[in-house]
Amino acid sequence: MYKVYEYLRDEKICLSYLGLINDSITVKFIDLSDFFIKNSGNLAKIKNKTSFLIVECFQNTIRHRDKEAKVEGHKDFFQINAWDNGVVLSSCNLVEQQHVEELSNKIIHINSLSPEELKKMHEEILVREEISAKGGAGLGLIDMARRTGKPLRYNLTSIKNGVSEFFIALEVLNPNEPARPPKVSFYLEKEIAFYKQLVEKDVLLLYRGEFSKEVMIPLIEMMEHNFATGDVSSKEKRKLVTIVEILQNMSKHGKAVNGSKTGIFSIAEAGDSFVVESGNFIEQTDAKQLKESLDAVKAMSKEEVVALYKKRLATPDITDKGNSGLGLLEIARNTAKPIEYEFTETPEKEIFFSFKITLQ
Amino acid sequence: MEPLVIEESGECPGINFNGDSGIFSISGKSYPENVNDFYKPVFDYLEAYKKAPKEKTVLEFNWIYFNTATSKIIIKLILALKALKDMNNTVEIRWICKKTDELMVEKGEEIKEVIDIDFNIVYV
Repeated sequence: MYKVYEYLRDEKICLSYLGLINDSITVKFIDLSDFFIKNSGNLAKIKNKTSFLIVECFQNTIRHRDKEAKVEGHKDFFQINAWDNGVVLSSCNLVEQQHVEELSNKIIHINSLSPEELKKMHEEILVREEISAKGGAGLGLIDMARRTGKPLRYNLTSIKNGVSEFFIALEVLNPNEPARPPKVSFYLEKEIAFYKQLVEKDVLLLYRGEFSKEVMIPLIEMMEHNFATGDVSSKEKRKLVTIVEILQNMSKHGKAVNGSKTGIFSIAEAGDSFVVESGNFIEQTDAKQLKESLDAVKAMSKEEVVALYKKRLATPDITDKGNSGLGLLEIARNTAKPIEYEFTETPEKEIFFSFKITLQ
Repeated sequence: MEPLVIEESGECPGINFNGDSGIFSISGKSYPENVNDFYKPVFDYLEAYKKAPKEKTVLEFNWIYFNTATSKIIIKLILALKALKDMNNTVEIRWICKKTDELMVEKGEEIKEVIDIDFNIVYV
């Protein structure tokens, strides 16, 4: 996990999502982006713009994807990256070959227009009031270009089965701030390569950033929507309670480095199970005890874990921080494969703790 | 006694404690980051109620799911009511869940095992 964490080190926040996309997921994304932006004073001015673009991006993905088409090597994708001075939203969906040229021409045309011309085009389409069979008015791309005030950065790549992958990245900068660090200026290529890696690993969700309650709730709710539609069954609940414990451990025991408790969390599909990984910094002094607890739990059989769980349950003491001593046991009860963990010492002499379990 | 009503939201359950009827219910999800903070008004209410309790007190749980820290809160709530039983009042714990909800049945049974009080798992 440390490698992925390091790969994304220039970014304050990165949330990549390759799961189910629907309107309730869109709402969670907006909750998350509002939180990121609220926490970063520089970005307050672009909050509404960002929410608006998230909705447009998602709706484009929902509307234009072909539900039946399952193409190997592709997953519908949505990502938010935030820096100190701006946000980049990227998405990827499939486009049927017959629409590729039309789409490409449309973007080239939009990118050639001045802000005034875009405004005029927008008004003309509004007046026409035609809504296509897919429910689109053809305004999405124009709106995107208008809101970002920049040419649309996109990529259309033909893949198998007569479909192309349409990747688009929208950059929303704080108007009062200079451009992003030059280091990350070729982000489109970088993001596409990163997306490909996520697809290869069957990642459903990856989040790197600060871990707090405000982030955890929308993350949990997003996973809930992915595990089940409607009533959540017992099997799904077991996954969710395990993930809750992992995320709460991160936010409670994580060490703040440079003023923020950042970490990384990912969930990937692996056949009929899910691999859940997390990574965060911890205090040097906590590492030894954590290792001992982990090794002790790893050495126990499931029955022993349950017995110890019940024993601890019977003593109703909770620390001031709200710790119960049950979290790790709950995780150990529910993992389908043995817990894996690793401590990495960073060049800055910080301890990075990686943790991995499998839920079935 | 004014009832204590807290609406269900995000990581916090819905609370409906009615001191006049002696029926206290908690429902939904519970994974607040610090359970102590969230449940403090609930414990305060119980303490006030215990000064003039009803003959019969019912504590109902109807969970979707909860974190491990909440399991300890559940035990603490039950123990707080146990004092009433020792004062010759009736106390009943109702653990409401679907029979098919294996996880909530399991959680209920484990709690039942570690406390000594009327604890009924009610299938709906």
